[in-house]
Parts: sequence; C-alpha cells; structure tokens
Amino acid sequence: MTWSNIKLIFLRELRDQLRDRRTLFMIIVLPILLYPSIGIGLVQFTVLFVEQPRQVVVIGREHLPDFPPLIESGGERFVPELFDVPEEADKLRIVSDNDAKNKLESGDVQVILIVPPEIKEQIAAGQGFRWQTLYNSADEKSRVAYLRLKEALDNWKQQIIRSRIEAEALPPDFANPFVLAPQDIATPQQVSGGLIWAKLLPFLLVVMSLTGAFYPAVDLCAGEKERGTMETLLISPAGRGEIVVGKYLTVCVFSMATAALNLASMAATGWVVARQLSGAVPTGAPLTMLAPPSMASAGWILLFLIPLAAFFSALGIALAAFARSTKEGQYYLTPLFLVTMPLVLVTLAPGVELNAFYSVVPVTGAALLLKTLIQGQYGLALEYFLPVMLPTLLYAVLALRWAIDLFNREEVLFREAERTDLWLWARHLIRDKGPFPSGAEAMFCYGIMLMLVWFLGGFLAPPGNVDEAGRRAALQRSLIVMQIAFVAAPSLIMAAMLTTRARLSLLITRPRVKYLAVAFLLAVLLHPIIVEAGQHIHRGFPPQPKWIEEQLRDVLAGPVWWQLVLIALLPAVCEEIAFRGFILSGLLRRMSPPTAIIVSGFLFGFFHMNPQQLLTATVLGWVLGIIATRSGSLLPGIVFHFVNNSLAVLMSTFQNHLDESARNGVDAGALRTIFDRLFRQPYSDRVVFQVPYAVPVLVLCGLVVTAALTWLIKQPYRSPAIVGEAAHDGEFPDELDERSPSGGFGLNSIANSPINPLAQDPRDATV
Amino acid sequence: MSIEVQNLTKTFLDLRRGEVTAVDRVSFSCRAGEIFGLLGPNGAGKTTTLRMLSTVLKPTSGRATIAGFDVVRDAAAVRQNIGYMSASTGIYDRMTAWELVEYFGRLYGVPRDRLRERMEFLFDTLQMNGFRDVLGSKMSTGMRQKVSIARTIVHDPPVLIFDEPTAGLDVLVARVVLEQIKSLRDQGKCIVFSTHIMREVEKLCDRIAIVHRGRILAMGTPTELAFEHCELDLEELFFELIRQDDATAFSLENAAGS
Repeated sequence: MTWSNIKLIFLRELRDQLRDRRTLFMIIVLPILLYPSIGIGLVQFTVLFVEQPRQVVVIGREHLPDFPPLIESGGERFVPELFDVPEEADKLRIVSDNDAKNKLESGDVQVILIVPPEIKEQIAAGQGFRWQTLYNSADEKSRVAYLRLKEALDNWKQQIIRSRIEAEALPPDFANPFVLAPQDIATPQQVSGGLIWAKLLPFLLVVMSLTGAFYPAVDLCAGEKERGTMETLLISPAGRGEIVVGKYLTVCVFSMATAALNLASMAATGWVVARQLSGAVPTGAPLTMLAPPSMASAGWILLFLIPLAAFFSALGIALAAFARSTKEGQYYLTPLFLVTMPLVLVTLAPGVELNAFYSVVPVTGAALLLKTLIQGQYGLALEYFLPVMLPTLLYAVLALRWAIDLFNREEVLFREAERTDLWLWARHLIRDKGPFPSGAEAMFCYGIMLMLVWFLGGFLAPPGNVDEAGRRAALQRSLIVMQIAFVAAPSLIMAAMLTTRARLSLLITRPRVKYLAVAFLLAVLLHPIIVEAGQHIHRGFPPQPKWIEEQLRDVLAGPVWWQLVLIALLPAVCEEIAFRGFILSGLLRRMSPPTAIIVSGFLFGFFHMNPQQLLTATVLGWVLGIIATRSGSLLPGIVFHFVNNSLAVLMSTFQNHLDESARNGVDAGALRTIFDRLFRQPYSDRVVFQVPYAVPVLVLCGLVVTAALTWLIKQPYRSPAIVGEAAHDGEFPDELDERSPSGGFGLNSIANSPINPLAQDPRDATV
Repeated sequence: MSIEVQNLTKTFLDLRRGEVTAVDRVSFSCRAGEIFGLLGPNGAGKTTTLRMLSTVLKPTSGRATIAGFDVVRDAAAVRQNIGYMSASTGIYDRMTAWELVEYFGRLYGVPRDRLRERMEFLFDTLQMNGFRDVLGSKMSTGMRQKVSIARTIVHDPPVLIFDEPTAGLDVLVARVVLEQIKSLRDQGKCIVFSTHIMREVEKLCDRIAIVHRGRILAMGTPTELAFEHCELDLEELFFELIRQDDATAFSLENAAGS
C-alpha cells in the first residue's frame, strides 16, 4: 500500500463530498441554525413554565393558631420567612375550594392541607397530632408542591418548638444540639460537570460521531456502486486496501467535523440560553446545572473525537461496503444504533466505573474515560488511558480489515438484486453442501448456542423451594442438559445436515500420539499460570457474585469421579465438539488459520459470559485452537480441556482432604509437604480457585509451556478444513510431515494442498 | 504476444439455476498492433471474460496473461498496463473533464509534467477542449464517452480492452470512438474489443472470436472463418453458428431429460 495513492483517493473523495451542496448544508449550515432555534424555543418555554404558581387548598384555615403564623395576612400565600428562600413563597398559592378532592385528582389543585379543628388546643397541651395532607405523587407538579409545603411546615414546627423552649426558660438550642454546616468544595462548574456534562457529553459525542460517519460512508461505498463509478476505480492500479483506507480517511474527517460543529453550536447556544435564563430566574440550585463545561472538558471532547470517529468510521465503511445501494446502506444504521446506544447508556448507570473489564468494551470504555476526565479524576483517567485507547484503535483496525476483505469479494462488490426465496435458499444449503461448514454456518451455530443458553437457561435453574440435596441434583442436572443439548447438539445436528464430511468437520480423527502427550503436558503446566493470572484479573474486575461461588461449591460435592465427569469430562467433550470442531472448521473456510484461531478463542471466552472467566477462557481457547489445527484432531483438545478442568476439581479434593486432617487433628504428612512446596501461601480454608502457586513453580511452568507452545506452532497444519479432505482420507497422512512446515503464523498451506487453489466453495458466493 | 488466455472459466452460483458457467474454457491470444474482436449476443459471456482480464473478477480456473503478467498473481501490474472501458465504468458527476483525467493519470503514476503534456495532447486530439471545465453531470453522452476514452488512454497502456464501447451512442459519436480505436491500433496497441454489432467487426477487427453461452464457437480472421464455414457474409455466418449451437444445446437437454 502506498501512501501517495491513499492520499490521492482521500483528497478526491473529500473534495467531491464538499462539492455536494446538500452534504454541506446538512453538516455545516443545519447545526448552526438548528441549535439556536431550539435554544430560543427552550428559553421561551422555560420562562413560561417558571411563572406558574401551584395551588394549595387549606381546609379548616380558621382553626389555625395566630402564633406562630402560618398563612400571611392576605390569605394568598404562606409566610415567606417559613421558606429557606423567601421568594419561594410565591410558588404556592392558597385557594379555597369546595370540590377539593376531585380537583386534586384532575390536577387543578396540587396539595390539600386539612387542618384538624382542635389544633390550637393540641399544640397548647403539648400533644402530638397527625396532620393530614393530600397530594398526587404521580404528578410532578403535585409532588414538587408537596415538598415545598413540607419545607414550610417543618420550619413552622421549628417555630412552635422554639416558642415552647422559651416558655420553659430553657436554652434556645435545647431541641437543636447541632446544625449541619456543609461546605461544598466543588465549584458550580464542577457540580454541573459531574451531574450533567459528564453524563451528557459522552453520549452526545458518540451519537454525533456515529451519524456523522455513517452517512458519508454509505455514500462513498454503496452510493458509488449505484452511480457506476466503483468499477472505474477498481480497474486503476490502486489496490483495494488503498481504496478503502482513502475512503475511510474521508469518512473520519466528516465524522469529526460533524461532531465538532454540532457540539460547538450546542455549546454556544447553551451559553446564550444560560445567560438569558439567569435574567429570568432568581439565583438558586437550578442555575448551577446550566454552568457551561470547563475549557478542559472542551479539550477532552475534541481529543476523544479522534478515537471515536476512527472506530465508527471503520464500522461505517465496513457496513456500507456490504450494502449494494444507498437505501440498503441506510437501513444498517438502525441496528448499529440499537447496539451502540446501550453501550453508551450503560455509562449513566450509577455503579458503572472505569475498570479492567469496561475498558475493553468498545464505546463503553471510551465513554467512561471521557466521563472520568470531565469529572476531573485525572489520576484514574491516566491509569486507564492506554487500556481504553489501544482496544478502541484495535477494533477500528479490525473493522477496516473486514472492510478491505469485503472489497476483495466479488459477491459483495457485484451483488445483484435477488428475490429472496427461503425455500430455495434452504434447499441450496442442503443440496449443495460442501465437505466442511461455511463461516456463516459456524457463526449461526454459535448464535444458536448463545440463544439456547440465554433463553432456555432460565428453565434449568433449580426451583426455589427444594432442600439442599434437591437443589444440588437440579444444578447437576442443569449442567448436563446444558452441555449436551445446548453446546454439543447444535454442532452435531448442523454438521450432519449441512456437511458431507461431518466426521472431519468435527475433527473426529485419530491424532498422532505426540500431540496427546503435548496436550496433557500443556494442560498440567499451564494451570498454575492461569491461576496466577486469575488472581491478578480478579483485582481489576468487579468481584464474582456470591451465588456463583456457592453454586460451584454445591457442584463440587459428591464423589470425586462424578465431579470429574460433570466438571471435566462433559464440558471437555461437548465444548470441543462445538468450538474446535464445527465452529473452527467453519471459520477456517473464511479466514486464515491464525485469524480463525483468534476469533474462535474470543467466541469461546465470550460464551462463558462471566467477566472474570472471559480472559482466561479466551486464552485457553487460543491454545486449544492451536492444538486442534496442528493435530487435526479433537482428542488432544479434549485431553487438554479435561486435564485443565480436572485440576480444579482435584485441587479442591486435595484441600478438602487437608481440611479433614486438620479437623481430626491428624498430621497430613506427605500431602502437607507437597502443598507447602507447591503453593506460596499458608494453607487455609479458601475457595479452591484462588490458591496461588509458588514462584519457582510458576517460572518452571512458564519456561516449559513456552517451549511446548513454540514447538506446537511450528508444526504444519493438519486440520481437514485447511489441508482438504483428500489428505485426511488416509489414517496417518504422512505426506503432511514431508511438506515444509509452516514455521510461525504466516504460511497458508492451501497452496500446498492437492485441491485447486482457485476452486471456491460454491456456498461462499451467497454469504 | 500481449494477451494470452488459456481455458479461462468462470462459474457463478445462482440460487434458482444452480451453478451457472458464464465463461467456459475460453482461449485466445492477441498481439500488439492487432484488434481482436469478441462477437456474440447478450449473455454470451463477453463482459465476464473482459472483467476477468481487467482483474476485477477472479477466474474459477484457467490462466490469462497480459503483457507478461498473470491476472491473478500480478493483478496490480496488469492493471497498470491496461486501459479498460465499458458501460459500467462511469465518470464522476462532480468532477470536471480535466480534473477526472488528471486524477486517473495521477493514480496511474504518470509523472506530473508528463501528465500535463499528455493531457493537452489528448484533449486536442479528442477535441475535448470545449468542455474542459464542465462537470460530469452536465455533459452530454458524447462528451462523457470522450472523457472515458481519455481516461482509458491517459497513461498510454500497451493493452486496451473495450467492452461494447459504442453502446447507447449515436452514429456520429460512435464513429469518433471507432476511429480512435483504429488509430490506437495503428500506434501498435494490442486491443480486445467486444460487440454485437456486425459492422464494427467488419470494419475494425483483425481477428474475431464468436462466443455464445460462454464458449468460443469459432475463431480466426474474417477470411479464415469464411473459408472454414463456406460463408462469405459474416452476418450469415454468425447466425448460422448460433443456430447450430442452440440446436445442439437443445438436443442435449432433451437427451439428458430436464
């Protein structure tokens, strides 16, 4: 890829978009006109709103004592001194009405105060009484009016107390030992920053950079296809990558410009509106809400435009490349919105703070980081700056690579309108099935698995009213059902129906013994490292809820062999069939082996749906993927998975045994020595997954694991989906060893396979 | 040899019709200073073949070499050495004629000073100076075609591929286009030219291939074809070959049972 070509294409597209009058209008003129109009309308509205007083009906007004006075002499409002801010007395207007109750329901009056007839006598006698007030909490006006009235009545109560104290010649502060004198160190800007801007601005920024990126992207990709100039560009020497990057840069510029212009216009309007409103409304709490954000915030916003625009532009280009017309392209905006909105709205939830988990979530991480910066928490922001920025840029790069891949696919570039016929398509899937699943089928299988777990998983939960034994049985039953029916079954069924070589697709082959040995070794030696990593991860993440730990304990009860079957054997077999069998075979048809392994790892990690397990599961998924693709068989992976899970069970049994010995006062002898050598913390009663290993153990394991993995990666690929079914129809494909090993991540051994490199799986055309 | 095509094949998957062979083992060659014509009805596979030569589509099997570069392995080098024009290569609406030709000249890597000279020359030769600064959307069809031609040859490629270049043009503009193509041949370019208009073939092509249903039915110079099939009139020859091929296909279908 040459920069000069990219620059040429970028500048041309930019100039082209700027020559489009409508684009210019939407991006530049509209924001400048729109926000001031809204602002002016808002000011008018608010001024009107502010001046409406609320109606209070006081029934039995004549019973009220003259001292201390509650109602002013005019009878229209309460005594102003009873309010913290005397002007607020004007907000409540006392009216009299015979039909008060109905008026309250209809909203014509907001509060009814019913004065008890004997109130004078009760106050004089020092008797407490209940004072009835009626209001409607569903109506905002009524609720606010009630709160105001309550404030006045509370102050009236204080006045009565003070007069009683004076009467008894007690010290004046007798009933009031202290009065809180809070001092808020936050400036109004910081308050408004924390309350409003920190929540509002990230949201706005995300929305604007998304829409600002999407429409130009659709025009540049799908629109160009429609106008017939795409092919002219494709036959030029510019490579597909250069074309995509050139267009991408244009979309970035527009995304940033849109967001910046909109926000600037909003800021200017907000500033003017705040000044206007400050004239109409007396000073008080509401005005600090409108204090404009600090200059620093403005700086952060402009800075964050860059990663957000980069990400959304890449995503926009990829989706737009997929669309065959602008109409279709614009439809893709809605799902993109539906996915992005929760990601940004979650930052508004109170418990959500910047931590290791949220920083890698796209959009959420960036929004949280921006919120942290606007709130002025620079220390926290610095700590998470790289953990947020790097993943965001990584996602942008991945989306761009996907876009380039789409541009390289003829069926995407030259898609013609087709009448959708579900029956024909289904028949084609089955009739024209190839030996291995396609990428789409793999993802579909994964989707089905997720849905089964999400939607039907609830039915497997034990009912609330059984005893402990019953609950344990139900839990174990649910584990079995989940693994067999939700994890393994979809893959088995889809392999049988949609592939001609189901056995090879599921990698049910005999591996060479060396792979079994290496898998076993890796599983044993990787375990301490995983546990160690788990310790550190736990610190960065929200803690696992208690009930998960209890569930684990439950399942771990019972005879050891049964535990091994439940926790080790069953998941090993079922998850391998699904992830390294069907799904990995499908992914290998669509992408290069390293990419397929990485993606399958992520899918595996995400499937566990548990922030703490996500990272370890992903890494294990990568290791299992490497094992599966090099050995061409599921068995080593099953061995690895089984050993890995068993170690957890065995460690627990080990601990229980030591527990018992300690309880019975028996010296555990040799076992205790082993424990002390292996682990670096003294023995104590802890949940099994958290015992940290001794450092020498870790170092040794690390070295051996690295060596083993390096050896493994250097092996040639054997997976049927890579080398083809012909190579696998002999039991031990010895020819595979004679071919030059793949050495590292790069080589694609399709070139070495006996299958015609240009032949495509006909089903690829329809994805 | 500037273009060598051997057993080029392209199959698509259509949900309704199953696997469709658009181009079926097509082989031909074309030298410098020669115009090779692909003559065939609509749907014969001419456009698909030419798209494969221009590297926009990848062949399902077979090989093609242009100026010594393989269209699959050295696609970028192939694109650098060809000029391609078809009904689906349009021009930008919001660029002027000059800007567009200059843009593509720069993309093809023509050095700036040479580019200016070349463009002046082209605009003179093609008589485009009247609409140098007219936007694409405001041009007439004839102007657009000229801009496309200028774009195609701005980098002086040794190989030119024209896919029905006179489609939708009136007689005057079509004549200009054909004259340009002839003069390019005289300059020593290797030109592949597809059409379904007999007159163009008779006037321009040195060698012809008659294609139908993705296969070449006959290939050679007009004289050779006339001798081979005992038919002097190219048009009659064409229709006869098509008819024979249709008949064979029909009987094959019936024999196999539908």
